[in-house]
Amino acid sequence: MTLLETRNLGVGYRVPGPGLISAPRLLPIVHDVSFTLDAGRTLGVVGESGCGKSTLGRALLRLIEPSAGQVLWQGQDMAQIADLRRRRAEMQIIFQDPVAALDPRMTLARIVSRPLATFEPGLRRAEARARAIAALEQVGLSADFADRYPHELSGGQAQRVGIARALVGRPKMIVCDEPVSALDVSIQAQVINLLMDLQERMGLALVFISHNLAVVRHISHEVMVMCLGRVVEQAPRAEFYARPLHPYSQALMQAVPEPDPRREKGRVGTALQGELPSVLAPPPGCVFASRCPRAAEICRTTRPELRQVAPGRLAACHFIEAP
Amino acid sequence: MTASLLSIRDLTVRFRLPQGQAVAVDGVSLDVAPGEVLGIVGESGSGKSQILYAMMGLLAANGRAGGQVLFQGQDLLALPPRDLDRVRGQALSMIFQDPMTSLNPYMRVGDQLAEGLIVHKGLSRAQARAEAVRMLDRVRIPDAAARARRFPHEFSGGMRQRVMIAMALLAQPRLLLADEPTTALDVTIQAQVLDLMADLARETGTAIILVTHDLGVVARLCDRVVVLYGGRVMEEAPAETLFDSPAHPYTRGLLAAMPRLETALTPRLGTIPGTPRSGGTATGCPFADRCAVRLPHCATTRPALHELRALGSGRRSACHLSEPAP
Repeated sequence: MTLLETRNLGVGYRVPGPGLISAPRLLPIVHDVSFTLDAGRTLGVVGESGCGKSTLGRALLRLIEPSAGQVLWQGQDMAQIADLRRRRAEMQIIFQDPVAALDPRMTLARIVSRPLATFEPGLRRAEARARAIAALEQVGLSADFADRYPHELSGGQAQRVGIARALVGRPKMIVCDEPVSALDVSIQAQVINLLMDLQERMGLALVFISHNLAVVRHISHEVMVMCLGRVVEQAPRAEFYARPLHPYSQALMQAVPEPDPRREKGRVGTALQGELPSVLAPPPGCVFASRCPRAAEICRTTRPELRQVAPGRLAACHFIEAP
Repeated sequence: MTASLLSIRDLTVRFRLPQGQAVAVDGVSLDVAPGEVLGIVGESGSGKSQILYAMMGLLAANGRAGGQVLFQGQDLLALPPRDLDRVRGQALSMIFQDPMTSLNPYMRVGDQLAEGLIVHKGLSRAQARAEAVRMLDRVRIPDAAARARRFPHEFSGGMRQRVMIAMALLAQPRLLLADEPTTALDVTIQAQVLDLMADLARETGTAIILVTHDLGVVARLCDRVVVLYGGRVMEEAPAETLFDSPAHPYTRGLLAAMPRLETALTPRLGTIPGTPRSGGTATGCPFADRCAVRLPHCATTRPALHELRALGSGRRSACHLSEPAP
């Protein structure tokens, strides 16, 4: 069952115009994102800083107003949903910095039950608390945690509380924005496993936003690679990791250091040269042209469209043969 | 091992806190040979960065280091401040995780680089500037002469870290301390900076201690690895053999918890239960409460770091399970 669908979604931010008195202009950050996400599935969105992946995540929930295209939630245009605040119980988000995302003056039971005041305003306090405790238990925190405060938590526990808060309204989908990037390796694995367990148990759909290709490989069914606000490759997980097609995906894969000295020592000296262009002045051609080892003249002048290059696989590169 | 450039012996770092004393580093000994790249790996609270801060005399005001840090025959912990300054300016340099906060935002990049040469090497301003530009070029800052006249905010994160490396290498140090130098960078930029460090280590013979939480970074750059937990060395090994045959249960747990790009997918990642220990003196093994294979005496008797001859040379581990029979 398709829960979420985007059609040519675009997002921009208002920035001051070029002159003192000129009107603000819209700076496009995310262009033309289209995908569908079914219940029980995970879409991994991967890219480097500034690629627009977090902006996309927020626009999916209409926390930022899209500037182009559509987001459909269970077939309904999100812009037309009248009681969106309440419907957000179905679609939740968790953030990168788990401690900053929690109000330091509230007990964990209050933090976790708080969304219920919006989602289910008729609920009695005791019921809301019971729901919060149940949510804490779902993420592996015992009922003893209910009356503790955020400063008593480790980073991993704080991220579990963030997940409990997302779960308390019984969501169908969670957008996870770099949820494990601030955590130690051993804790990161606990949280990833927890998200996978919850998905299996509850049929949750996940949008998993991360800069870490290895983490995305582990948790995702579909992968979307973004560069400078554009999707450059979109593919099922197994096919993508077996053979990334876009030169940018390949470069990212090369750059990730793996705990394997034989692989790694052979990769010293293979790093891409050059820097990504600025979002403020995107290039007219391919977003990756300035760093691409295969770039030709056409890449600097003409933007390659995202197109089907193999069954179920999309890529935006002039040099990938269509099937 | 050839004669050591650096020998740390039984280093302890303690902090005075209102609620008592906290031990961040608890009796660490390690050696670095000239030209060697040593990785110190650990999670938060393992004490990995405090080892570097103790060596550089940069501990917080309530921190105290004990033991010995023998660098080129001198104990850095016993040196008077002025002598330590001379060592720090010349033979020993350090780079940090966040290159923006390590650079002076009000000073042109070239002038910041030149300052050290004027102070420590007695060069004239013009000579020092020329040398700074040469070094920026060497760390592959494009158009170095023009870039030297820019301010730090005009550089990207990756370029700032390369500026820091240039600054650290100007004095031609024998040992470079790098504290999570690529953690704040994107992977493609991280790869550039790691390439650069590998080149420089090879060309100049500078030894490096790289502190990181990322075992992948260690695999790319390091000759030898020390795994730290709760302020103590859990395992020490040459990089090639550590990853094939991790000996300590903590090292094995860390490797199993790392999602990988190229190995077969498992339904779930391996985990280490609980949360990383933050310093403190454990009476037994600091990892005992999270260890899947602990023995009854692990919590009470501290395992000594011992050689593991069966696994090849240079292998050591601090675990009761691999201790030779008494």
